[in-house]
Amino acid sequence: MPPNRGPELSSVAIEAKNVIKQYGSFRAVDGLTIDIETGGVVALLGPNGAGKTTFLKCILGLIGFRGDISVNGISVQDHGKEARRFVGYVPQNPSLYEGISVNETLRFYADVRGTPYGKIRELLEFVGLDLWGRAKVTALSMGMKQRLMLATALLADPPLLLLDEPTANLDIRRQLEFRSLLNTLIGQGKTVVFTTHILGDVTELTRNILVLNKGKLIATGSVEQLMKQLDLNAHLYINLEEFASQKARDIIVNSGGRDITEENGWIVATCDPEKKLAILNSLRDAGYKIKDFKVEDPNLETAFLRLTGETNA
Amino acid sequence: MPSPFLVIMKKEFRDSLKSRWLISFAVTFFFLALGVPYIILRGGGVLPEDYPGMVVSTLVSLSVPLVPLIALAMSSTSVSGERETGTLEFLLAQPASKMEVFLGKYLGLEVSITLAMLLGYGTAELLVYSSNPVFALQFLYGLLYSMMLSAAAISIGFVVSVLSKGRVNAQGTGIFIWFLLVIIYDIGFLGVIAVVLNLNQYLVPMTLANPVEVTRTLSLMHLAKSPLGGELGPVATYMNRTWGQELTITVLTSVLSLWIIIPLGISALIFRKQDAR
Repeated sequence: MPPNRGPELSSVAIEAKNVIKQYGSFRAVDGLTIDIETGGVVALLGPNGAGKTTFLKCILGLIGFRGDISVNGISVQDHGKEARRFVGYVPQNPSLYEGISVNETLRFYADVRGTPYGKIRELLEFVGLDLWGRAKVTALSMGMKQRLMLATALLADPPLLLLDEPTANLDIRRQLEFRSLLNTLIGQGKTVVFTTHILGDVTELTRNILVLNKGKLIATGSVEQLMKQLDLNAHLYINLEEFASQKARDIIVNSGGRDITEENGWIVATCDPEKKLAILNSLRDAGYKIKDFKVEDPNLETAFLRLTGETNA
Repeated sequence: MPSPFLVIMKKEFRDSLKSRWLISFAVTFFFLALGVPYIILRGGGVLPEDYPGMVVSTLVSLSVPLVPLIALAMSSTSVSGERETGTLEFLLAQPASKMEVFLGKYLGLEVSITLAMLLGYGTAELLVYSSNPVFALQFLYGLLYSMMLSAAAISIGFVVSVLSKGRVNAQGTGIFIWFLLVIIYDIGFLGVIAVVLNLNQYLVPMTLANPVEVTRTLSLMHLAKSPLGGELGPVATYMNRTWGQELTITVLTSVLSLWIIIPLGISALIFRKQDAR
């Protein structure tokens, strides 16, 4: 897909000031103030009910709220239609008209956005649906529908993409494909804001995260910083062909492993998530033959629980 | 560059063509306007020349209840159905204003139902009623008021649709409103009040409070005014006596117009204030 030719953003893509969204006595978004710079890729993280999706909907002007949000300096409350010209949105669940074809879907939204049909073929190729143009939306798998949603969001080449749990309903293979598409778009300079529960989305797409809980911003930074701050570690299980000698243990320690134990013939080491490969490579370089290995990465849910001070029931 | 309003309106219309309900309704309207006796009598070669005059008042009583049934059933699910599938939220996430989406959906449905009536009734008009200018004129009045009634029913259906949580709930409420306006209101309220209690002062406001009754009364007034004649009900007779024929028709037409505008305004206002779900 060619680089972005659509409308361009100023230096700050999204400016949110003291955004409050209240349902009865419950505050889904509670005084959020966030600036997202143009070209940035930001992951909104947080446990269920943290206010991530609600905040995305506020940015789109889909729901009423107190405070101010502007997209490219345009107030979402006062000029929602104009502000949305800069935004492409992919909701968590594909929301497509089932009775029409893929081509008709794209033509309809191209008309709504006032975009010529010229880009449709190119977009279908980009998302890998070029052979499915005449197929009815009902005939598509969940992964295909999600890719069609992305194509729809890209119709007018918007410089800003808002993605709500874009890979949540996809299997691992489709997740990888979808992330690859997003990485291409990020490479083109699109500003991307997405919510996710999947660690892989964060580590492969961005280093900037905003953690929300109960509608409030509780942490910012990179995933690595967050994991370190919370002392969240990976566990590496290694099965060597030969006896796990002290030398092997030393190699693991020198490559970043710690708290080494042995369970049923497996060496178990605790390490930073980013040190896993270094440990395995060091062992191999020292001539150890690795029969098998398993990785237990820290997950975001654990991180959220630590951050919010809550515990698993 | 077409506005989102026109694009959405066009899609609503195209959907109605695709789903074939527009054609089914047009065929229904056609046979309703023609009357089953027409087919039998014509088939037997014994169709009387004044056949249209004989059936035109029956047509009013058959057509008036059917139009709001179709309009309410279709319109009550228009917003609620899309809300349930999430397509409404996605549509509102595009550079289109809420009013463009709302009016596009409203007018798309309005054009579709009007076209179904024009096709069905219009073909019948050409085949049967156009033979005599008196029949033709009465038929055209009936068609015009049916269109206004369908617009009013769509407006009421949109109030139901924006307020309802789900498609099934909306459709149920729409059908219940039809039942209330056509069945209960007609036989229950007006009939009992007119015949048993004889409270004439309540008849007019109660008629005006029901777009179906307004349309029925209007059609009967025109029919009674024409050389074809016809019986006015107790309400129309009372109005005729009190206000005179011309003023009654003006009042009824204005009230029917308000039945289009007011619910449409209310539903538009609710839709504008509502969060997209």
